[in-house]
Amino acid sequence: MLPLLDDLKSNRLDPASLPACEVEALYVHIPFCFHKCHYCDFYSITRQTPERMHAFVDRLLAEAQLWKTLAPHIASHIAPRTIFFGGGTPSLLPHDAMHRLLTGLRNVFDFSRVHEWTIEVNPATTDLNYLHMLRAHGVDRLSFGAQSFDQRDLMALERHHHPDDVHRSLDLARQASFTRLNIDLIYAIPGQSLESWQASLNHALALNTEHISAYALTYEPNTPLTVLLREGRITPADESTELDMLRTTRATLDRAGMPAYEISNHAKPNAEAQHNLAYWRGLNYLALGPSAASHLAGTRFKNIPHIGEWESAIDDRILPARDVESLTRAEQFHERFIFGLRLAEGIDLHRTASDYQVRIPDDFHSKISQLLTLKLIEHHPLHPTSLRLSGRGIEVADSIAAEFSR
Amino acid sequence: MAILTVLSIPMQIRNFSIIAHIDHGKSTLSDRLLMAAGAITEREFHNQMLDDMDLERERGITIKASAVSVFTEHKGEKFMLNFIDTPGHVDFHYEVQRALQACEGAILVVDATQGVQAQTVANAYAAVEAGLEIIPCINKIDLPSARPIEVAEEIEQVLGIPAEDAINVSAKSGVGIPNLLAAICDRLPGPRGKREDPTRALIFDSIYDDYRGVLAYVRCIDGSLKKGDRFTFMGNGKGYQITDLGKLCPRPKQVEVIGHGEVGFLVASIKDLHDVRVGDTITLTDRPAAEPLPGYKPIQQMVYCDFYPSGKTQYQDLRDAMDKLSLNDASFSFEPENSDALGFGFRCGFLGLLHMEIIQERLEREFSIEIIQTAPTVTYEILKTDDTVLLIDSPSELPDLTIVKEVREPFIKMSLIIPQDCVGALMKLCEDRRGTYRKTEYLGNSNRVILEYEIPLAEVIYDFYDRLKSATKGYGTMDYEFIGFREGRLVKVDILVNGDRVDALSLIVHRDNAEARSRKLLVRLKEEIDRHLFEIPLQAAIGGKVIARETIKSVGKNVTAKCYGGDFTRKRKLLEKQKEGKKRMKRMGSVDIPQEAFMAVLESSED
Repeated sequence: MLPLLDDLKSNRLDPASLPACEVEALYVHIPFCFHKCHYCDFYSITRQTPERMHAFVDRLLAEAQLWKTLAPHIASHIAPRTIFFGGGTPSLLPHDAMHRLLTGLRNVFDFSRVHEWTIEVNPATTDLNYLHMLRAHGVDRLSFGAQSFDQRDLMALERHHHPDDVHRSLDLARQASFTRLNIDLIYAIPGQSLESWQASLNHALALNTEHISAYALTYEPNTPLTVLLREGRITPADESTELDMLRTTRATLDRAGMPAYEISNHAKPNAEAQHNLAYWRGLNYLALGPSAASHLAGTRFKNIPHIGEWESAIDDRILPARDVESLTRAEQFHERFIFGLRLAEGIDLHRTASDYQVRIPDDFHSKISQLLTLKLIEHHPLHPTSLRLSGRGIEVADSIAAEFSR
Repeated sequence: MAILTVLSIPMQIRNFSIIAHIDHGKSTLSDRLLMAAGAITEREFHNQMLDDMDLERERGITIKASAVSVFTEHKGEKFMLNFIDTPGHVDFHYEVQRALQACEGAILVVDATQGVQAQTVANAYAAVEAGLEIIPCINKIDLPSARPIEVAEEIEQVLGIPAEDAINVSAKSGVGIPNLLAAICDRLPGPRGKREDPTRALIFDSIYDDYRGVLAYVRCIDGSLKKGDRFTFMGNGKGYQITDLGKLCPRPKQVEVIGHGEVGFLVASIKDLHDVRVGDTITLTDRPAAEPLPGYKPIQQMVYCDFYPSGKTQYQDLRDAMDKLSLNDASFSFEPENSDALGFGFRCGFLGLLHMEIIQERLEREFSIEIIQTAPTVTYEILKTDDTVLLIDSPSELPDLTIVKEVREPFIKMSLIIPQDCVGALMKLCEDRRGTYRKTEYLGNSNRVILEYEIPLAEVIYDFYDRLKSATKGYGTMDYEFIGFREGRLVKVDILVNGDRVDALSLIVHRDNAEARSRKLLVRLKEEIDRHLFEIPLQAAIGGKVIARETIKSVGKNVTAKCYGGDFTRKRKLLEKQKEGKKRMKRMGSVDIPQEAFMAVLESSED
């Protein structure tokens, strides 16, 4: 059958053409939310019924199955070490739907090597039974979108939970024998003061999770928050406040024994999120669900960011992947290098070049030596062949990355 | 090309130019005269016939002169009228002079609503100098605000041409045109020169034609030219054979002969426009004239700037485009230049600022070339301690001051015609620009004055014209002529960006203005250069002495925290976006300098 013009335009994935590779991580996108937070630009929908969600789980399992059918050479290598369920709000899936999803996926892929399995949970709706069920299925890590412990910040973000919900959720998680816990925090929220941010950080530390992610608020296009900003109805944090908050975050969490292993991710020793690291380290990951992004051996693609179209593709037994982009080895090396600089472990330039079998671009050495002189990057103190951003370099990480992109 | 045979009939010849201030209706009047003589139709009248470049039409000025021959009858006699068009802008003064040399008469067009303007005076003086008979012609008399009587008086007062000689016309409606045609036949003298003398033909314009090579427009002052003649350029001694002769009627028509007193163009397989110099004399190789016609001088470029390739344009693309452009404009020069800051490019010389803008626009429009242009400078004359004289056209060529005795800069005599109530403002402007007052003249009862200053050209090329226009609400006009090089307390100011001297930003300024100019320039640079990963000191220095400084702070915070759920394509695109808009930048050391910064020198001269 001839490909439809639409298909050509949308740059559809040909799974047979993908090289065989080990798939080390699995991401599952569950696009349901009670309510869309004002800053969030991840794909999600807010109107759903249990039936709709069950139908969605059917499609997720069918999508997994499609990989087995259409790309057996890949599927036979899908043995993830880490799994991450993100959203949306994955915990919004009804108990039995989630149960079915977890069981179903385990039947399709080889989960024998999984050593980290995270699910994002909404602090407002956590219940103990549900957590027990997750734990029984092998989920061992929970991530809570706390964002802030100041009610005013939560209102500015249109988050529908109360700071106390986070305490309660963490208690329940511990009761359900979860020891690996993360809370997400956001700073540089309109109206937020440095003191309030410091208080949120202290609050988070008191909860004694092993992992904290702290993100500066980003104004993403097509979010209500960005509209408010454009209309002048909110005042964004100024640069120096944002910078102070970033520095405070690093200092506070460092002192508390939770240094950053990546710009926004802090953990107690050996509690780094391996799934997150897999992204930054350029490992292979397969993603299921609408809008989810995959990376397989230098080929990146993204699922259709619309639940209805995603479902139709699966019903037509077509992989719902779009925006396929095959990176050359030089591009993969480049990406790996600039993202590797963000990690506390740094990146070994020469080893990376040899991993990707490329020559180091001519201008890299002079750029690196200039950045070293400016103390924006540094050698890793324990592994001197690795480079990483310095404390100051982290503050201008994107400018540094852009330096290598010319 | 049709063969024109009608020319064998003996007839009277009138060679004349139409001269005017910009926008006083010269082109419309030319076209109206062509129409009256039956050379073009009413429909063609509505397209300007004599100007053939888009740019000219947009700017309302004539850049390249050309000559058109038409035929008419007057009092039972046949007349050949040769219009010799002249460029209308101050930059093309020399071309105007040469075109006038080809004539015996001039029609001086003055707008009935605006009266005498700076270039009216300059052009009229040029015509008087060339010994031409002048017919004043007051145009646009059909406009409600026309004041032809006052304007005629102004002409009489300023130029000494009797008011009653003026002919009132409306080129747009055709009113008065027959009177003007009659006056051309009656009042202008026939051709000067001698039919029997060895041929001397004046080149008053030349263009490059892709198929035929160079076309030289000539006026036979003495003798004549015919097809097949061998001839010599008396300026450079180069010899050619005439392959074609023609006239514009106004469409091109072949002729066998360009007779005594006539104008036309010749073709002789000349490949390089630079061999055909406007003002040069052509004589016949077999029977050469003893002396060339007087007044020839090589073109002198007074304003210089650099063009560097930018964006997608490569050096070779720019070179090709400039080569092609110079085929039909011999009045700009260029030679390879290598700047530390901007790499390989060209140092270009122009007749003036407008000429520079025209060339830049033509490169961009006709050749899709992207360029970075440096701020314009003038030519300086350097007297060295060994008493030799050096001409430099770029601040970076200024020798070490220990071997410099004098730095001399070009001065101009500048005439401004401005409303009386602007005199104070303009005098202040001229004085701020180191001008020396010469005189004030009142223009009739129009409460306008002519203000005359001697002023360094360098002070005028920046933004003087714009400031004149804004100070006089658009009514002020100016004209200038070069009067020589004069010594001044001039110094070179070097600009250091992050400690590195950026030669393309150097400037030569008067010592007294050096600090103020430098400070303003640094402030402008600070606005134009983006923040970098490090602090960038900006310094202005004379010799080793820093006279002004500014600092561009480093980037404070630029980090996206998220990894977008593994959507790295998106993340990378965000990073790439940061690179956009940096296309027209040059990296100097480790600093990206945008094109605007190189033009900042221009705008730093005033608040």
